Amino acid sequence: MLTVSEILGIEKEKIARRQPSEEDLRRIPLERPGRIFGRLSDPKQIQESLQSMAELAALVRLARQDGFQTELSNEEVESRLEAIKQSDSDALRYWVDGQLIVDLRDLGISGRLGPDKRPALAEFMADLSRGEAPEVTGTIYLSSEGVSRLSRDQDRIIGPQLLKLMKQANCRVRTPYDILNPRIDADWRELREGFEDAAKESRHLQEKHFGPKKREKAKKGEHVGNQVTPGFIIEIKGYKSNGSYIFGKWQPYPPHAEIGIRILQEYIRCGGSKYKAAQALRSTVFPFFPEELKYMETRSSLRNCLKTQAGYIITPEVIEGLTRQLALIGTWKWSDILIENNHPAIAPLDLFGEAYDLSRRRGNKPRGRAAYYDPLDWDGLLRCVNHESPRRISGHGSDGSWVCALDYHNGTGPICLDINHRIISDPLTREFLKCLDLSSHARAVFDEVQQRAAATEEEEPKRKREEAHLKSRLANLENYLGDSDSEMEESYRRQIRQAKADLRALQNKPLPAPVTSVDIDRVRRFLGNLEDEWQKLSSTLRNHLIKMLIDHVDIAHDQYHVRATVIWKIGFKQRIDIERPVGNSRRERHWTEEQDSLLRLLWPTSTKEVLLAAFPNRQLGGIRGRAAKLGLERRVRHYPPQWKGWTVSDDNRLAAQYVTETPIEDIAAELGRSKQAVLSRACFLKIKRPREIRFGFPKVNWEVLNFYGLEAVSSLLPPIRVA
Amino acid sequence: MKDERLTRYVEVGLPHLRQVSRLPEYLVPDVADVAHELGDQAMLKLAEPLGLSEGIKSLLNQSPEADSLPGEIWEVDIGRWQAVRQVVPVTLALLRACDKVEALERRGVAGMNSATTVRGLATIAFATFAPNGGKILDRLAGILGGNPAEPAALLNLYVKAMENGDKDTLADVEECILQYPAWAEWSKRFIAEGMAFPFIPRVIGVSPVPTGELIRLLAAMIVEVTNADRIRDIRN
Repeated sequence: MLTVSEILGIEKEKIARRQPSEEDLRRIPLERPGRIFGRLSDPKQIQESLQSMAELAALVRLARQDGFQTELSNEEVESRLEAIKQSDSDALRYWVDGQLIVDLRDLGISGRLGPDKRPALAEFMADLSRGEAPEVTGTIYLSSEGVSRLSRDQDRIIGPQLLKLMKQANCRVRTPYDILNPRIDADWRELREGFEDAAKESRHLQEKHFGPKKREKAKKGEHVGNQVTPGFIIEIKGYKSNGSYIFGKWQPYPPHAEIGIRILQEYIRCGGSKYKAAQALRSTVFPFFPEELKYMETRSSLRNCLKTQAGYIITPEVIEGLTRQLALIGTWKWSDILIENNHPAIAPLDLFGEAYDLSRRRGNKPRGRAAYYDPLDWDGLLRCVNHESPRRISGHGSDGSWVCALDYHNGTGPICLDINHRIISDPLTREFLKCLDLSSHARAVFDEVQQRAAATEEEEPKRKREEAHLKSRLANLENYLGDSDSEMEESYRRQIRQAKADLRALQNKPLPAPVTSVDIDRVRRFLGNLEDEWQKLSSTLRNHLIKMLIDHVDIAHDQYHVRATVIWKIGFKQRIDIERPVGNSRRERHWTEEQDSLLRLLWPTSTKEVLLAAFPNRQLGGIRGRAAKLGLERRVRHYPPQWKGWTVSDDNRLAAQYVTETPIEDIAAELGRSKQAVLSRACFLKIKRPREIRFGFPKVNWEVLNFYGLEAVSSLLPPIRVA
Repeated sequence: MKDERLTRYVEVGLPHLRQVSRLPEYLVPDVADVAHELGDQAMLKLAEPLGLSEGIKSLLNQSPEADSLPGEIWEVDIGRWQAVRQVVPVTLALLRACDKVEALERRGVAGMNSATTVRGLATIAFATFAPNGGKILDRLAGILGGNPAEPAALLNLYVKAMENGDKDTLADVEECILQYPAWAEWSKRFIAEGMAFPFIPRVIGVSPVPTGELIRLLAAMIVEVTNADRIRDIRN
């Protein structure tokens, strides 16, 4: 028969094996160190917030009440805190008192900062990272403001990190009112919410603290920290005790004000185009502030502008901003506060009014509906090397063009490159695929395809099994509903919601596309003739392959040529010289001064053939139009050769060739007639030229130079010795 | 089963030729595939006009199986071949010539028809390595203004003439080749074989490392294309 002591021993063993209860988890572990953690956001609070500082002393007392053994008396602790309050340079901010660690090194440091700038937090986190051990902090003492003392991280990273560490180390959070342990679900949630509130409160506190003061100041039309409009400086009314400025109203700054007026004038002259205005003002800059106005460098909105040695560059954004700045006409605007004649105006009202109206009308243009365009092939790999340092060329999927326009957008230069993407992409793709040899990977690719097919086959039954399991779990949980314990009831309802969500997600998840079985020969053919299959692939996969193998492509270009140097990741290089087809865009067809002079010389007396030979990239219609625009007149009439009738044979030849890609000029030459005659006859015979030929993409010509790595090898190789 | 001993000789001997001549594997990587596709019959037929066919056949009959020959023998014998030093320069010049001709054709200024160009380039390149090619190479060098000992330079001169639109020189080369019945017939058969060939041999083969990511991507590509083809078939 067991004795009472034996029975008690058995029961004690049972208790020891049991999962710790919430009560156990909330019990303060006196065998492990306790840590008093103090933090105040502002150094001023150390002197001014008497209550907060008093709370720190109260925390030490609380720890003693909890059972921690300490050696320092209450008076000693209070005197140390007093030394901190007095900003005594010898004041201790960290001490170990028996089982208690008092860490006040974060006093005066914002809770928004991370452990890199907060020594106390860094040490606490490092301590917790050692896990649940006798020498690791078992209880952290925080003032009544709770976990906001630990962190107010706006990125919501440090809070969850701390929670995880505290859970791993089984560290309790002790406040004057509560003991929480992150190992308890409810406490975990409460602490998590505490960190979230602390982050939110931080923002709110700032607004609450500074908002009314700021508003009062703004109502007086005085500077409240917003960026100062170009053309103005801030009046300094005085200095605070800590040496910082007390600002008054804005004042005109003539060197910048003059430029502001020029900007408005140019903006109006350019019809409201900020880009054109920026181009026109390329040689103008806002000069730097002199030494006595150095404080304006960080307060003027010009601080965001690019700089040259002469000053701040006038960007399109600056121009657009100025056209809407009421400050230019002396009106102060801050939030909903509007004060007329607050400070001297720097721009005449009529000038500003016109610019403002233009800007408003242009800005009100409705935006189109957002549309998705596939990225262009080679997107992200092209770099323009026509600059001091290479610049990324943007691919515009919407209009299919490659554009290098950083200078233009910064207002520092014209558009560098704007070219139809096919002119570059087609030769690049062609030469890339010509060199790419994937045939040796056929077996590995075939095995991968087989694996995918098997996985897809397995997916459907697996999905059905999971669905059945979830449905059965749902049915079971629903049976438990109606429990008298409200906590249990809530727990079941939560689990039911989760199970329903999982089921819905599973049912909505699309099945992977079935893999059509392929044989090894098909794989070999595919890899060997990738060029033929290329256009069938989605742009995502095409780009993925290109980006996997190509490091970058350097693009050097002028009006007539594009030189692309393709750098493969394995080090292989290709140089592709592309001839730019004559485009139809206005910029490329722009008549130069020399061309105009030549036209003036030739137009009065030259024949059509001479004119076409003189302007090889232009058509007669274009030349005629330019001549009319220049007010030129023909002095000699060149009559066409004698008319000759169209024979049946001529008509047949015309019908056969007109629907092919043969240029009209060539057909005309073959038939011995003018281009106009060919067009008229085709129209008469109702022969239609296919649309894809009429509006076809101009043919792109290029030459490639592959760097085989043997360029030094000549025909005069040294004799080869064979062992 | 067909007796493809010549094909096998080409397949087995090619790595040794590459090693001795220092021709990298990534240049003209499809030679073995081309030989395989052609087979003994076509290759011997091609060699016939130059009088090499019978010699090759008798040599093949006397020789052991290609696979049984040790590597050292391959390399010693290839090393004794005088023309082996021309393999790299001629290959490079030919590749450059092909790129150039392709560019001229794209621009529509090649000036000559493709058959003429292929005949000219192929004859200059092959005559370098043919046992009886010296004579025609001397004459072609005279027309092109080059040195027969530098066939790579002759290929460059031929392309230069194309670029310059020097039709007289190109016509002279053509006429010269056609004056030699053996080379006229060889080039004719060469062009015919080329036209009938099922794939375009690769000029250069950049073969990336088969990482898991690459293999998965290629598998995704073939699945996408195959599924798209299947959907198209069903719709039709």
